[in-house]
Amino acid sequence: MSMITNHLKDLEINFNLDIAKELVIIFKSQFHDSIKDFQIYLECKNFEEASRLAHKMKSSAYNVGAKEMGLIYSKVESETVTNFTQENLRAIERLFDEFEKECQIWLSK
Amino acid sequence: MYSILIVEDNPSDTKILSFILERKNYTTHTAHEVHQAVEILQNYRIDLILLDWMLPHISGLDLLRTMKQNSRTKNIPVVIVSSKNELKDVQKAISVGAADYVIKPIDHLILDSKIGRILKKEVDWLPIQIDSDTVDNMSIIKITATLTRISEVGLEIKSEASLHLGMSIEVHVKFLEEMDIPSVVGKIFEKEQGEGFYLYKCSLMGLKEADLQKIRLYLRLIQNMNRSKAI
Repeated sequence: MSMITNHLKDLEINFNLDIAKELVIIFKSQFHDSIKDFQIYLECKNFEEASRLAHKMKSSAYNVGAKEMGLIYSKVESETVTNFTQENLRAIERLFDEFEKECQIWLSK
Repeated sequence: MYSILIVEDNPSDTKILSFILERKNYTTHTAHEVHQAVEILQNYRIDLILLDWMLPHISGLDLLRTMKQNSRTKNIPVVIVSSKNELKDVQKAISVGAADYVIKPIDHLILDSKIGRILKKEVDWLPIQIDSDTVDNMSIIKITATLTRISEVGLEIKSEASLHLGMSIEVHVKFLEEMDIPSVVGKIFEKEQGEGFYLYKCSLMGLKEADLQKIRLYLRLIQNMNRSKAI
């Protein structure tokens, strides 16, 4: 079982299934909104706002067990030019696709 | 019934915090930014605040600073809940007047323990009696103390030195150092005088999840060792 599935199972045990599902829904919704905002911030080099948004997304990602995404958000949060890159945003998107697959596996069990 | 105000702008963290508190039958109020929190503070009796540091417009720490200057709000205990996990962040929050500090991602057991300690003046000390041969000496701001008990949320220390309640201290414990936890920040919340010594209970603040797991593991190990000896 993957780290994400394990974490979601833990949420079910420590809280309940409904809360676990709600956290996933919140994260997915925040993710879709944030990707658009990150693109805008990247284009206008607004590192401060990008850092603020990454800080929030990091927390939501960790709450659903998406630790790898959390680590990249953490880099973006550091407000350095080398970390807030198109490449990192693509990596976040790739990891989100994996997260969605993991969620489907979790829900099917 | 205790009433707790959650000041948090992230819906994911708000959901977790509300669930943990409501499960324990606390009454909760929620604010997503400082001006909403101020409005709630003006209209409701609040026993404790869980305050995010990074909030839009005005930071949680600025709200804490303002609260401490106001006679009506200065005594409401505030627990900072933040993903800022550096020792300097914890120390800064304490210096402004935070009663405690919880690092995100939120661990429901830790949060429960800390809230229980603050509101009900209780500590969830694990039933651990550390054997005399595993007791460590440690120095705390140039004083020497002996670690007598430890839990996930606090340390109990014995010392001849007189320290003040509310004092925050940097604690160096040998067995924690061996687990790559060079120091922890503690705040004295209980002081008891014995014959020629004082017994202090200090809350542990700002420990990272990985460090807490190490401590839990250590406690379990000691607990199992004690059980085996009893058998």
